[in-house]
Amino acid sequence: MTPARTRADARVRLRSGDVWRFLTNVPLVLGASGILAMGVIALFGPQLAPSDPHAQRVVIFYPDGTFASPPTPPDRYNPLGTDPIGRDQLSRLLWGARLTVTIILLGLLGRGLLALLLGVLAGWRSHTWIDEAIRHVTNAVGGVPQLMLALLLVIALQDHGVIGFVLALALVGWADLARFVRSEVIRIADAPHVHAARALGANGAHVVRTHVLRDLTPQLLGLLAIEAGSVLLLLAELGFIGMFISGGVFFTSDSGAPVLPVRDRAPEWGQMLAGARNYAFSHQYVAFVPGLVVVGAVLAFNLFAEGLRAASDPFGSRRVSPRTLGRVVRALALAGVVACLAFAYLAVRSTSLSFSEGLGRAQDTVAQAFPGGKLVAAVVRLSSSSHALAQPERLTYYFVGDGSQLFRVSFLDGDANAIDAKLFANEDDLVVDALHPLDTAGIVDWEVALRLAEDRVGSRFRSQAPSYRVRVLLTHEVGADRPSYRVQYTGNVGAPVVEVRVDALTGGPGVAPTRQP
Amino acid sequence: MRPQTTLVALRALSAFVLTSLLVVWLCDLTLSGAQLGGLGIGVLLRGVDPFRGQTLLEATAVSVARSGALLATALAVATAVGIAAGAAYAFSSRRIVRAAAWSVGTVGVSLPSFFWAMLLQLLIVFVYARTETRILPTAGFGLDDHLVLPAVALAARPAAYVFRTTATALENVRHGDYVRTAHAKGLPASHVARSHVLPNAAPAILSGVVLGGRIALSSLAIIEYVFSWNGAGFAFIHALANGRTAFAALVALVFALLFAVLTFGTDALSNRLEARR
Repeated sequence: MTPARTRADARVRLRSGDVWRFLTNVPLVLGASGILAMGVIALFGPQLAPSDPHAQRVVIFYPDGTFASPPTPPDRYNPLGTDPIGRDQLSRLLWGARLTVTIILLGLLGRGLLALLLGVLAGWRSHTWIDEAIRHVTNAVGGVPQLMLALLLVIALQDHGVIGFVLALALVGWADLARFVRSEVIRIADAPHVHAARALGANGAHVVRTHVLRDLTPQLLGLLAIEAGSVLLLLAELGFIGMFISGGVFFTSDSGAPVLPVRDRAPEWGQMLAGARNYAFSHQYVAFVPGLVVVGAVLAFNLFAEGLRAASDPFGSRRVSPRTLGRVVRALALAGVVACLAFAYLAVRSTSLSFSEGLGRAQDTVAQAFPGGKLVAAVVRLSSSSHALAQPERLTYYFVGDGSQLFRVSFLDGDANAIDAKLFANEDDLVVDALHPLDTAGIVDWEVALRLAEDRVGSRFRSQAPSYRVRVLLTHEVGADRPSYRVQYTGNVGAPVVEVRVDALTGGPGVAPTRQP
Repeated sequence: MRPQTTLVALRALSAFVLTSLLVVWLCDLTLSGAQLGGLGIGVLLRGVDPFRGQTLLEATAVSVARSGALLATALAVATAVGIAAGAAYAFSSRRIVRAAAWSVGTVGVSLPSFFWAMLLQLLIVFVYARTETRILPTAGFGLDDHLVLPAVALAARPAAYVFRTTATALENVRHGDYVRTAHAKGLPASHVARSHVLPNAAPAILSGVVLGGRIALSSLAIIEYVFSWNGAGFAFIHALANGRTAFAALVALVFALLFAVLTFGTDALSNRLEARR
């Protein structure tokens, strides 16, 4: 046998041995399967859901003629039961997986990047002023219980919706990870191969990139898997006390209005746990179904971390070669980052609608439910009691049919999931006979009209009034040669309505604003 | 005081100061909304909590004392159970027992505190429904049998962490060359464990206990919320929910102080233990 053949055989034996050790690493296989299942559910949850996760029912009528009031226990129609307002729990779990996984991944990415950056910097420059400064910052952030800090951050960032929530989850918990990275970097920096690389003249950045980070990755990935479970636990705990993504059922002002934005139409596992305590004794499935799902997911992350630890333990029976482990771990890290970006794109895309996207969806709905309907008005409403203060409270599109009937399609919070379509005889201040069908080609964005209006009347309503409503109404009135926006401000009860008219084609001033008492 | 201890104390102090600044700044941010009024250090020290009729300092002292009792009990339980289970694991040679113990530990770490709390409450309700016997109260404050369920629920996750840390530390030390040499010399197993294994594993076990303490502190608010234990965590959540952010800030500052003291104590003790080795 030639030496070359022997080396090739050894490589093959090593690889097959590593594969076998991976496959017989029970925690790793169980954890990886759990995480994979979670990923599949997050990707295809909406397709797998047996019913509409948003459909609320006061009374649930079953096909066999019986009926019940929610919450109902698991049965063959609702395999995991229904929640207190009659929504199917299985469908909500399947739909909610995407937003939950997205939040976990983004929170984890934030924590990981912060910890890696500061930990590597502190470890590589250990016992210098940089190390000392970073140590003070990590001690300060790690000096408040995670839940408390997360609560404060969520409230402080309440106007930023999902991004604010992700930031709150990312800005807590990274301190312990950074401390670990620092100590590992100090250990690796003292290893013979790192000394050799530096003796050969490699610069610091090169050594950190090719040696320190490479050696750090397996342990870091294991720790990140535990951290993913920790992010989910924090998400669940926040949800349990009534604070969930872009919302909170617990935090209300004296007048009963939510202090935090509430958007429970976007199902998420933490949100499903909100109010669970009230049903723990009477309707256990309401509390324990989402609770068990969270436990299962955290367990999967922990098992995966446990398996990785066993695979990298040089004295363990399930160890794999460092080269194979390094490759697998790097592939997993890359897959994690790709998944993070993909889910972020999917989750953001799936719920938030722009004005034109809303119009497209409204027109699709009209084509099915109100054929021949023509668009006559569109309204963007912003309000102090809005569920997401920086976002429209409602996007509404009005269509008129042959018999002057109005068909209204609206999206609460500009949320694609919160579509509401109704037929009206008439509506508030819309006089159908006084409106031309609306051609939206070439019109400027409603935000341009709002900005112009705010420049003219001042933004005092949106920034200072404790209670306000702003309507941006797009119509083409009879007698006018072009469509126009009317921006209407309403302050407290009894305060005057201020209206500013803006040309919808140029974005310039329209007819002079009229003031009403 | 030795220079090493002084340095540790200074670090703990700076951590507390920075954390305090962070907490006050965050609370100030949350107060920027029209609904929540203003916050200043003067309000923190002299202000009156309108919901309790007590000064903020009195209200904070009472709630922190209640939480302290719960926390101390839970930590004692977690440390005792975790270290005993970890030692039993490390010194056991039966694979099935070891695998089962490790699995229980992993599940224990994965269960959220509120889940433990609800399970325990449900168990009591189930027993009551079956036997009409009220074993323990399921909610409320009291330094009597009211303490049992919250303490057990709060201790569950820290106990799992202490168990895993203890087991790993003892396992590593037990397979050290010097321990094998001691065994080879014919020293009794109890003597080897007492003189070689435990002293060398002590720093790691201590850091496991501290980690458990941090987890317990973090879970305190949830456990108090579930069991309606009128302590600092419960007060913090309610203070935030009702816009009494000054009170919330003061409670958070007390927690920051506790963390700083805990960090200082651990680092000082670790240094001493390391020096003895």
